[in-house]
Amino acid sequence: MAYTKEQLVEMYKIMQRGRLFDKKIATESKKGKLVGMFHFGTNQEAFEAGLMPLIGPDDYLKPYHRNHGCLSMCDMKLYVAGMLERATGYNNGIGGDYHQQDIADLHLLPLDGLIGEDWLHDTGVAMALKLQNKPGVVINCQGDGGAQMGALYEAMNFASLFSLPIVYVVVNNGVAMTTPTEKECKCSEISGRAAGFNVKGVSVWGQDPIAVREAMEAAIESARRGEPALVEVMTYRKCGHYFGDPRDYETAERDARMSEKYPDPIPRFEKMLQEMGICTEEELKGYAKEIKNEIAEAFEWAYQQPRLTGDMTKGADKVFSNTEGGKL
Amino acid sequence: MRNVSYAQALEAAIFEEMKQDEKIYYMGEDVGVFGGAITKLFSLYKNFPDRVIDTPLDEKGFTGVAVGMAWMGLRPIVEFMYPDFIPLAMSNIAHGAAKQYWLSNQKCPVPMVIRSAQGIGSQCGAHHSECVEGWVMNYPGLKIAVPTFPEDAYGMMKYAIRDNDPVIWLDCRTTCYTEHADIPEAEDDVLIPFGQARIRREGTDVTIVAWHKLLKDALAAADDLEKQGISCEVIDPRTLIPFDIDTVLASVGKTGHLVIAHEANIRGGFGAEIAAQVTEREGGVLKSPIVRVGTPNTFIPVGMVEWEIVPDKMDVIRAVKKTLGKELLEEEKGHVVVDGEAELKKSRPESNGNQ
Repeated sequence: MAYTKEQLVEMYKIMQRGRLFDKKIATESKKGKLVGMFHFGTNQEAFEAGLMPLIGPDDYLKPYHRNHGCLSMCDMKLYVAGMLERATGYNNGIGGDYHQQDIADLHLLPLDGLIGEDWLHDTGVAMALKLQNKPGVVINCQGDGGAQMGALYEAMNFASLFSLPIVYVVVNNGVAMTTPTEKECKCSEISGRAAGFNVKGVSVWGQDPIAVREAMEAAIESARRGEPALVEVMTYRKCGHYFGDPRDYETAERDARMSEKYPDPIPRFEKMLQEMGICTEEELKGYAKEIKNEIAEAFEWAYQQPRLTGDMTKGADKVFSNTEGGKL
Repeated sequence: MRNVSYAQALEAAIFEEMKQDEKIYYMGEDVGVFGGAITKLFSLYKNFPDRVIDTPLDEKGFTGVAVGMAWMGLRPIVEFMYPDFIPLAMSNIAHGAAKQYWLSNQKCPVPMVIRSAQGIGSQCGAHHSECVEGWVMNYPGLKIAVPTFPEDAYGMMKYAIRDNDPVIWLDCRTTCYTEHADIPEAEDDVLIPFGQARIRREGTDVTIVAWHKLLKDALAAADDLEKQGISCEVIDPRTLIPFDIDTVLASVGKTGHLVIAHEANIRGGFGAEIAAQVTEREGGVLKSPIVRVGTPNTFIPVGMVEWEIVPDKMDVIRAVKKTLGKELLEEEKGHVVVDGEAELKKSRPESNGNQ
């Protein structure tokens, strides 16, 4: 095993944090304390466990809109406050769960609500790094739905043409909102499309954080050399599109087949860690408890924070950085 | 002072800014050796080959990439060969550029200029002749510049490049090849801030607000009308967002009559916005209803007939007389067939090597 216990535990914690964070949102929603739409990533957590530890201080991430892997780049309290419309959270609480961003300090890139559009914007971020000879790679994560947008193909063309340090991550979880991937495109592997742009494309089984990590590491190294890459993470979304989605579009037969192909990554990884003698069951339970407490504390803190008001978002000075010169 | 053409004024402004700020990039299709398809800006590529970027034929692609570059503090200027192509990149402009300062809690400005030349003049028909200010004006977060004269283009382009907000910069295709004017020397560093209208001609009987082709037409109409004893005040707003409503209101307060003329389609054009703002704020000073002049809600055919679709001097004269309740002269009545060949010649004199 090429990884230290510390690294393996970090990966485990990222998976658990994603899973438990979603669970907390579900609990709070049931209590009526959360409003808005929340997208979970149940059963897909391994992909961020493989990716997040590789992101260095010079790198930039546009997170995937389901899992909460980006929490490991953020202050969780400020993130939850931002999610709960609190004025002291990230972006004053205007972004909700998905649009929290801080390019300059956290290197957290904004998620465009038009899924797939930011393929291009983040290619521009990579262009800025390249033009200024700055270190760092850009990682943009989208789903199989976002991969159907033309922007990905325009982005890959630019990235390849200008040798940009960017990795495109396609989380192919078998369904885009309610549409199964097989009804979206005829390609069994979306990564095959990258070859058309002279971009390296690879598909990786997404239930094993170590397999994902190895694929991501190779892609990131390649991107650092100016050879952009695309990593398709094959997984299965074992939850609705949003919390409360009855998921009646999924057949029992397909669910069983896909669940077998893409089993829950968390117990799988736990079993591996125990069998290899790296962690005991008690230790693993301890980590989960630690994360649960961290999440509970973040929510407690956020609930106490002042609410965002409409007035705080209005005014030309909120929309424009320069309000000189009459009616805006 | 230097006497230059409109294209040379723009070239000078962009060149001087690129010289003093290496964060500025000029991007678009065929903007390198070819110099760009609208107004040739040869000196840019010659002097800054690393910062003038020829892109694939992909408006959405280069705009989206430029948005990300601007997020990172670079200052891209992107050129659209025709503004008709702006819808291809509208989501990048609207969501990536216009919203970002607000969404980032005022932490991430987007300093970029999106430049194109609009309107008829290329005889290229329905997909290459649109005027687009109405398409983008409804969206918060974008500034819109519509300079008509070289001295304005020079000072305003410098301001646009230094501004930290996204600017939609629209040149006028029928006037950007003909106008010549004196512009300041580079070392004087003269900028024209946005939101300052310019009174191109003072008058007392009627206010005409117009830009681009219709500004030239309005000035010609004002000359003709003066001979008939009608005194027109002609205002060039120079920018639509921000809009200098105070200058317009002061003028309308004096004349009591308002005509708004633009080449864009009349419905939902910026003229409607000006009419609404004047009516809401100072409706009481109007002695007669406002009259708008614009292209009928239709499209532009290929060829010289384009000159018969868009409004011209005669439409402005008729609008002025309508708002003043004056009789039309015989030659002002009805449809006037415009000699497209003659107009084209006027708009592109042979001495101009730009096109």
